[in-house]
Amino acid sequence: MRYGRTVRALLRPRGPRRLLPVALALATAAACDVPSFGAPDPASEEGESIFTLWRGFFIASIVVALIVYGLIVFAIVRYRRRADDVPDQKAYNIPLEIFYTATPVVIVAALFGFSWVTEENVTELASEPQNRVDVVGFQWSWQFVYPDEGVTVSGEPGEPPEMVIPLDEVTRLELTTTDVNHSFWVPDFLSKRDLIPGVDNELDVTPTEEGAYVGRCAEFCGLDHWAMYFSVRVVPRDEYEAWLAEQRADPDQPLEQPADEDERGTVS
Amino acid sequence: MTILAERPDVAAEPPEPEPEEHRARGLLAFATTTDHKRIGVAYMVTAFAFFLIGGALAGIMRTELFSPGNDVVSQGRYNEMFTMHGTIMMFLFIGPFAFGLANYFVPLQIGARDMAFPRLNAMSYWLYLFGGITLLGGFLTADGAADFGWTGYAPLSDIVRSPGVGADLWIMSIVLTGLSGIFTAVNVVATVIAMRAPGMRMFRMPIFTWNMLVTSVLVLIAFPVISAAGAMLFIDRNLGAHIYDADFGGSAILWQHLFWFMGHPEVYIVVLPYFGIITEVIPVFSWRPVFGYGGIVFATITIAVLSTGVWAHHMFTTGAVLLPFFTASSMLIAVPTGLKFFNWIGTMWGGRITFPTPMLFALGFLFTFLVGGITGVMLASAPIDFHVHDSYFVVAHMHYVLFGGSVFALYAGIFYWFPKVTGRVLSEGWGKLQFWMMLVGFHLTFFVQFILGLEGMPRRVADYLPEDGFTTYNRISSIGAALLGASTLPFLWNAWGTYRGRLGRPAGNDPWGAQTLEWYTSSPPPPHNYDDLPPIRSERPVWDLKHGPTVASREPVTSDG
Amino acid sequence: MADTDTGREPTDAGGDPAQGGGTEGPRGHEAGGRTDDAAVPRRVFLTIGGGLTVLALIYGATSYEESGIVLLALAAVLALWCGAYLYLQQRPRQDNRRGEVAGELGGAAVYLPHASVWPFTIGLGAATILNGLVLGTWVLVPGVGLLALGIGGWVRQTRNRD
Repeated sequence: MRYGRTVRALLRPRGPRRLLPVALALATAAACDVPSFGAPDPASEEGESIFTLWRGFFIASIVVALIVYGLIVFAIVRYRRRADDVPDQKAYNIPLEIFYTATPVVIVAALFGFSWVTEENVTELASEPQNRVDVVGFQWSWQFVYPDEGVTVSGEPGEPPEMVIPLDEVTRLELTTTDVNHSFWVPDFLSKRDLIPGVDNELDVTPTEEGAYVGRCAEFCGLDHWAMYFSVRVVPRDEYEAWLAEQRADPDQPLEQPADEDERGTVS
Repeated sequence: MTILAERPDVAAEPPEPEPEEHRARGLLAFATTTDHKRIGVAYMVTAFAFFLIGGALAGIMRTELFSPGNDVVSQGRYNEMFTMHGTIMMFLFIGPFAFGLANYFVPLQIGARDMAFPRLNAMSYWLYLFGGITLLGGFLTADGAADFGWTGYAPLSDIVRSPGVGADLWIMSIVLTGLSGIFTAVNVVATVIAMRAPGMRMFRMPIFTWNMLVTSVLVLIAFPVISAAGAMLFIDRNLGAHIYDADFGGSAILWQHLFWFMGHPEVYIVVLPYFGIITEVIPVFSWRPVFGYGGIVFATITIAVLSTGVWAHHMFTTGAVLLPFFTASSMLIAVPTGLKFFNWIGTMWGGRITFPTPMLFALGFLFTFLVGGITGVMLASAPIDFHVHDSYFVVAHMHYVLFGGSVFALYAGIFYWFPKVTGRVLSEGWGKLQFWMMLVGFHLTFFVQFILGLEGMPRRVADYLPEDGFTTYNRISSIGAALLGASTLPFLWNAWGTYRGRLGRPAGNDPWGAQTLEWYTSSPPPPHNYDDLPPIRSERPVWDLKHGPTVASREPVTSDG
Repeated sequence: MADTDTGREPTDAGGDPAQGGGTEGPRGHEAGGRTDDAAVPRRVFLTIGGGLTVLALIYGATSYEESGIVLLALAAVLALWCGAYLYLQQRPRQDNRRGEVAGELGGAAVYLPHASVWPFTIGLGAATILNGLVLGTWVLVPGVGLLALGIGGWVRQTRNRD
């Protein structure tokens, strides 16, 4: 068929052509933030820990990918059928197979070790956090309660709430919900934690850069899940005190703070 | 070779075949068939139809995400779409297609004349078909189809937050397709154990059959769990129970444990058969045997064991799981998968490689699945997952392994085995067009999603804001998706045209110069599969027949074979 | 070029195709010809079961999460059960004809499984029942009828063929 022949003629495969999409992909990668490859600049201590781990994994991945791609491309170029003889039919090489089983185990063990150390670091909870915010998630916004400060910030769908926390101090986040699963994610902190009914999660954040950071809900929670934005603003301690005072003076501030989490009812 | 007692139903003298005039025709013949080949084709055609439906849903989603604020569909509908897209693709397409291939080719590859339990086999297909129709029925209900994600997390899926009956239909369809899978798994295991031809020892079976055996064991482990979990959800929703209800002493997170205990083996259920296809295709087009056959079998079994112990890596951010255990097990599972990669390379090494369409898809698989596997190791690291969990990074990873992995391999299998099933080889020209469209379209669609996830775009979002900065990559992704979707058209044209005789070419028994037993018989095979069998003394009896036994130097040929 | 000639076979002129050492059985086993083939299926199940047991023990000892321990233990039991069944079912080897050409399969009078409408009926009945649980009694009752009909027909068909 005419079209078929033309199409076939145009697309006769050459070894290197197969590389084209891969090359494109890698070029795209190279164009964006090597070696962070898109991960945000961390704005917290925990985030820096995770970012370092991520960068290590990313570099290791590139190395592994280059080796494996190199082997595949070499094979399909070098061993293209040019003659009709039967090639060597050897179907095993025990030392080689052991090598390429054991080596990945070693690599994986190393990656695991780094991961474990980082994980301990970022999930560690300070014995005495300087600040505390109770994060209550609900369909489809957030409420931030500062139990020790008498301040509550409530959001509603379409009006993302803002959490203000002080720079260079540990803020303990207590994450609770009474409706469905949500997840508290600030990409600039490179970390998230879920809010699950019946599971009270705690997360420490130690911000290291001033600024305002967007937050999103990262566990599908229904209709307006995508719109459950919030923000976290990191300010120096004195500005934080000022903000707290302003909040307390605000006539919209609820007179009675929501009950302490132990007393907060769970039976609806 | 058979270790079980003689089958009581096989008479010493075969009974007379049914007289011509009593045989059913047309639709009735289809509804009453117990022939594994017809059932296998039915599975594959049905699964492909579901693939098209699921793909259409994806097309609508990518259109919606082309721009912020774009309202192609309402939010509620969008949520139904990604739920149904995932459910259809996982439960109605990629798994059942593999079961269809297994149905057709496992008996052929081991020299049997049918599956062990032909009626059970047919029943599996009908349970699957009706289960699929049940799921789609959700779209016709007043409140629409299920809309809580294919993972159906409680309490979002409880009766208060998802009151529509589409959710209950979702549960029932999972029970039906789960039953279907379990019965097929039983059938495959029994067939492989009890119905191999003389000489077809376990370690001479093709790797595709080995992988189907191991997949079946995983199905037996995983599917009952989701059926139970679904039944419990149904009771919660409709009979006033509070199993998943934290307000009454239940546990919302229990659903996640149960779901993922099924969910993770499930993803290996839908990838192992396709690894098997790759292991069939690469040796044939390299003129070499499978490299490290024993290693591959060992790796497959290891993957099965480990895949049962990694489920909570989907739950790292819940704060309720033992992180190091699951990081360790999830990273470890990369080792046997890597072993397979090296064995595939070893198969090509030193060979005489050609690149017809099946081989192109196999190579596309190798290039693409590697990225999926590597990003999987990244996700296995709990701290990294803290950032990218539930973001488009995960969406990209899963599509790299499921589409770039399983679907590319699926097409390799279709192009490879289409001649055996129909007697005609698919058109190479249209196949190559499809391949390149698919390869470019796929990477355009999903590669940028890694970056989107890292930058902070969550998954399952019906929309996003212009100030998020996600627009450019979403546009690239949507354009890629259009190309990817369009790549199905050359395939449909090719399949139809070849089947009708307008494209492609006729195939004899062995159009590819292949190695395994199914290429000995005619294309298509007769109803009883084989008129006679060649000697089976290695894992590639057809190659041995053509080129002399490769076993000659390793095994003494005694009088008893 | 090569693509339309994919059916071409390599030319064996001169060379001994077996010179590469041939294909070998699995690592750690004796060369494929001497492994006890009948033992392999049960070894597959017992290996999987053993592996799951190890996982269950490690998980049980390190985490205190009940559902995971139960699930892993059940999975291990399932695999070990199947392996044990295969072990107990083993018969003395009946097959000593490894590699012999099986000529006895041929002929038009080969027994093939009969067609049957009962799988369709049971499938439809089960689906109707489950849909009936969702949609109402008016769907449920016919489903029960179909299922009963299907099971009855299936059992009758089995009895008749024996």
